[in-house]
Amino acid sequence: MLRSISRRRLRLTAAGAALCAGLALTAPAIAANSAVAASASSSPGASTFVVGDTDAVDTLNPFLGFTGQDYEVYGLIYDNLMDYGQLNYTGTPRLATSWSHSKNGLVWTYHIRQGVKWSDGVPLTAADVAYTFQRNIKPGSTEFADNEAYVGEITSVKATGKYTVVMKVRHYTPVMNRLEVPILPKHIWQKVSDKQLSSFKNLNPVGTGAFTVSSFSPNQSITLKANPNYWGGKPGISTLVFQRFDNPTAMKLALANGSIDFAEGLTPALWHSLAGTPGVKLINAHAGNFDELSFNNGAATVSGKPIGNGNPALKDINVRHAISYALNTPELVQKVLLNTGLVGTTVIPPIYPQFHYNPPASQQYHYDPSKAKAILNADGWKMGSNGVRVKNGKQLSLRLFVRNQSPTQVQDAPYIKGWLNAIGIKVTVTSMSDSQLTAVIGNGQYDMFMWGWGVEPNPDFQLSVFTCAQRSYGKGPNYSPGWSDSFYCNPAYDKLYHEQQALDGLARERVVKQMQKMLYQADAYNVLYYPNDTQAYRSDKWTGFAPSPDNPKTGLYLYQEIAWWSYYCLRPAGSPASLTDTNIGCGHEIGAISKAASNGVSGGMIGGIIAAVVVISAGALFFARRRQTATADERE
Amino acid sequence: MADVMLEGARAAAEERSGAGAARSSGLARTLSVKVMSAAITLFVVLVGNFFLFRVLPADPAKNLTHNSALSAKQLAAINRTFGLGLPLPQQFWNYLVQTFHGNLGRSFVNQLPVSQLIGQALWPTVLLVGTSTVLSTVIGVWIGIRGGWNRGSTFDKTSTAFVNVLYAMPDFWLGMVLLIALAGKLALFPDGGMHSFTGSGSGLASLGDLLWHLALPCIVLTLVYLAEYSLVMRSSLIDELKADYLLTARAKGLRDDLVRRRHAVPNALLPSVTLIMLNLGFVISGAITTETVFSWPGLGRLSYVALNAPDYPTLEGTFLLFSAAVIVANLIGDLLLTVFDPRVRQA
Amino acid sequence: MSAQPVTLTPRALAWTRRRAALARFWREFRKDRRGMTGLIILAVMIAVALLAPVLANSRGLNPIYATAPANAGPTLRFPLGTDSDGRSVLTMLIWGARNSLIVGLTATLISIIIGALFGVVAGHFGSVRARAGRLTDNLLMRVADWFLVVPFLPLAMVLARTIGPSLGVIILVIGLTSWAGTARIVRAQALAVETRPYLERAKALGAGHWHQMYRHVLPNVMPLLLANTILTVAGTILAETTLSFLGLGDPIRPTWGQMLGAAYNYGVGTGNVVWLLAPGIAVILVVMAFTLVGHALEAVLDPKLRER
Repeated sequence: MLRSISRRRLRLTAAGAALCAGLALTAPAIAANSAVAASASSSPGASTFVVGDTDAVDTLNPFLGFTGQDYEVYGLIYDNLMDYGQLNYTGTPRLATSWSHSKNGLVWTYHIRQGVKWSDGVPLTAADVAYTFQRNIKPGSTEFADNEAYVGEITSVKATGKYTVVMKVRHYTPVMNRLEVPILPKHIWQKVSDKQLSSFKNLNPVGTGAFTVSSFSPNQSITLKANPNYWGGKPGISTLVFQRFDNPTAMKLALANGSIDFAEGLTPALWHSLAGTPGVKLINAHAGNFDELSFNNGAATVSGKPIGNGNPALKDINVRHAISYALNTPELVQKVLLNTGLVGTTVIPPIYPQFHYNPPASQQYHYDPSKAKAILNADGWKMGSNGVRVKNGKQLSLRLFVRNQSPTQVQDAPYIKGWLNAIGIKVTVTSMSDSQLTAVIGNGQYDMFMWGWGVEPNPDFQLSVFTCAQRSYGKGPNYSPGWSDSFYCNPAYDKLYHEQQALDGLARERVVKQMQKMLYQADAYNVLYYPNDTQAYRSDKWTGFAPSPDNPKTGLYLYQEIAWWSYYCLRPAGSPASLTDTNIGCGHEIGAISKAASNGVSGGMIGGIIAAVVVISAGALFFARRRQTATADERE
Repeated sequence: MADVMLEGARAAAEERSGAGAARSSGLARTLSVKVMSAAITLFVVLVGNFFLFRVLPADPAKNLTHNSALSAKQLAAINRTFGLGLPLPQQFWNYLVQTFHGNLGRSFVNQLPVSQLIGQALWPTVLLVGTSTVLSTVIGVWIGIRGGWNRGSTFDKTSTAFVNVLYAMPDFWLGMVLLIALAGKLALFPDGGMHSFTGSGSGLASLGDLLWHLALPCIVLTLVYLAEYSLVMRSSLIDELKADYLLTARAKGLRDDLVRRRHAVPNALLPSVTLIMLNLGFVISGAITTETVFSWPGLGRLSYVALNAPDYPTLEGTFLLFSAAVIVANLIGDLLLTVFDPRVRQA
Repeated sequence: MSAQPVTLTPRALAWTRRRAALARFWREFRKDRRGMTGLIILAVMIAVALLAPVLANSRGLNPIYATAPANAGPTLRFPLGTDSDGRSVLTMLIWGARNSLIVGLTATLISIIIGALFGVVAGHFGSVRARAGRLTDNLLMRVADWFLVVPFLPLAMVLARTIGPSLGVIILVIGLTSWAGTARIVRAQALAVETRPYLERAKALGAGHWHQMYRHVLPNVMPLLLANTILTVAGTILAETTLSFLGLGDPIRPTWGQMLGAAYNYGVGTGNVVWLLAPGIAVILVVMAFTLVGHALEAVLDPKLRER
């Protein structure tokens, strides 16, 4: 089950959503698929950009990699066929310059960019793409398990020309417009058999990406150097280092004294403390995340059999409402997040305005402890002598589980406990690791817990989490979990879910909002807040970032969702803009990739490629970039 | 508690060496008995570890797949990889055989071989622990000797007070304080890691960079452990000073410092060295938090990260390594005692 | 030595003897300046722990009532500054004293009981002539060996993580992992006691194993055990500090280790350095106090032990 371990990791796992429905229009991919670009001026000397994170790369084998940092680096050394655009979440061509599908949607044709070379000099052809996908669709293989989200429907892949690939699918799926699968060189990987795969270290990866690996210390740091012949344009920096910090304070100190250039994964307090540091700029980026307090709405398997030991009091909607009225979430946002976030309401965050449902103020669960007490009193929960409410001889005592890997959620816990104590509910707080909590949830052995999600531009997956079909299944004592972690089950909701899968445009938006309203009124979750992503960097040394979405105040500068524009757009402060502004994706273009005219033309400039991609989500599945996932459909 | 554990271990060692000396008819026989004993302890550790980690609730399938739905076939494949689902005795036998071949299984988290993960993390820890042990031993022993010999002097009083404070200090606290004071704004030392982020050059420059990064974590571990050694050395020397043969030496007219150097210290040194060896287990434990504070990529940090998953195979592997290190250290301490203790050598 | 001979019952005689011994002991102990310093510090700490509800309102621990600015340095109102929730660090330090000491003492109790049990049984049966006795001794000590050899912190971490972190678990875990040293020392002492003549006489008179261990061995091991206990507390407090720092403690109830962990995570580099310094200094003082007292105890008791 995909759970947010950190916001950053979530962003990276945002692959595979359904972004599509529309077609990619393609204007003729212009011949200027010739190689790249040097921009006019030459950079004076070597420039090194150091990124600090609390995560690390543990392996360079893209089939074994697992951490968020792994995926960040794979996206820099390998290219996918297509990508998220920099401006907003529109898809853009990458190694595939254009593609189309047959009328019945079962045959897809991709045109591969010409003139691209692997880092060892061998030219990229359709054969590499075909090989990559053929390897990935072998049923039962590690590759298949890793990328099933994208390649699950593909039945065959063939290179029909030097630069054309044809794929056949079982059913039409919009995921064919967003194949986030790194393209690997056939001449290297054909030597690695399936048996050798799990021990293949891939220490000198050959890729087409903007960077190549220059040195690698697993779980410590990795150094990348720029690929001067990158088809998208030469990066503005010569060396890129990712450094892992186990000590978050040390990372903040390192940014403050300039030993690193970018800090990712700072807690709000550390981030906040950097304010006013000369030369440091703080970014408070909106991200499609929410943190929630989840209730055990009545854990049961898909066949309806009750499981676990959840407190039955939580099945009573009045109790859940009382809890919601008792929580002072604005105070959490203010004190724990230090205002780097918004108070939460519904499960589709406001960063997706067309889908986000904002309940009218009168219907929101504002902080109102007296109302909470009144609800409980009316419900028969009388205050006992020791300050805990009692009904029918049972005390209202609930367990609250928190993940020790989330400092903000651990900090939230005493607040929630305090507020619930104040209205007469006894709360015991226990911290546990992510995998322990996942097992506990799957077996229904909890009352309340805190966790978070990263929501895709296409809301389908997030909505599916609350369907009856996503509850646990199998046989006890260890049930297999689905995606549901609230065990909310409402046939009316399920009906709407299937309805929106077949809809589009405004009609779909209406249904999606209706579904959120249902969840909100049922109080299946209490969405606490929408946390921003707090980043900080040395603005005295660097400039040229390409935030995504394209808003310097609120866009993400690095660690963007499957879009790596910033890394090769950024350049040393004071260097001429022409260093990178003609690189693809660095000119704030909408989705389309066109090389703007610039002064000074070196040989081999890329012409413009126009691809407008329409973004309309229409049902699809959200897949985690984990080793393994399965959707309700694929489960037998 | 380190104190108590140490005394307990010392009692064990003395008893073993005493018994050994009594039973043996030769050095070689004593030595082989001790090695056998250490081997048995190692085996006990292996058995104990196996049961500890099998008894603990662990479901690698859930861990690896992050609890998403698994088909029966996939579950079977994972169980096969980890050898679960077999009868317990079979699992135990496989475990023994594999361990002897150096196969410590695969991480629950990323399927990388545990031996590889440990291999990568071994050198940094050996470097850190080794350097700090040497330094803390030398400095601690010197302080202990000086203090014990001139009992009641100013040096003795101040050093004992200083050392008592160090002994009571949590190592990670000291690490954080030094980090904030000396790294950070002052940037006298780096904020973490083993090498400079931007590359450390080659040859001499690289060595210098390594030492610069090693400095703070090493200082922390040295300070925290020299306290123990100096206290032990001091009390050992004081005990030794009561001995009769020293009175004789002095009566013979030997100079004070010669008495000290040639007679008292070497005899007092022995139990101290033994104890230093026995303390290795705690130094390793201390390394766990220190490595985390300084982002030092060693075994300590590996265990700490594995703890959060929980990644049992990796934990099992590090456990084994730590225990083996302690056993070997104990053995060396034991052997030193046997070989060099004049009371043990019988003729 | 009174003018008239007074007939005392054996029990009263024993008590008189004990009181005299205690007085002697106290006189000796008082001479040790360092031991006295430690004792005074301990007395202060324990007083603070007991008087916590009086000294600092427990409401100050509840973050929902904390309205002061977070991470602020020391001011008149908050002499040690505030933490990241705006709570007074001094309040948390005082209540932390209570929790840290409770954990330390309880864990020590468990450790000592297990250790003494192992030690006395192993020592007693180890001195028996029968083979079965020595086997028991050997077996028990092999188990103790495992605990001695496996480094304490990783073992404690694994147990705590698996059972589920909480203060109770930390107490249990520390108690379960730290008894081996005590067991060894107690056993060595028990073996020595076993050779004493009156024990042989007791056996000749038909005393059973239990009687011998309880009535003869244990009381003679007690003095050593006492000193050992005090020293163990120092260690368990340090152990609890480390485990709480690593996040294996109770996120709600403050202990000094938990305060240090929070300072580490929420950025002690953000403003209030006292938040990091205060709990650390408190731990140092308490551990040092226990160590000084423990060493002084050992020194006083030592001549008594040397009656072999």
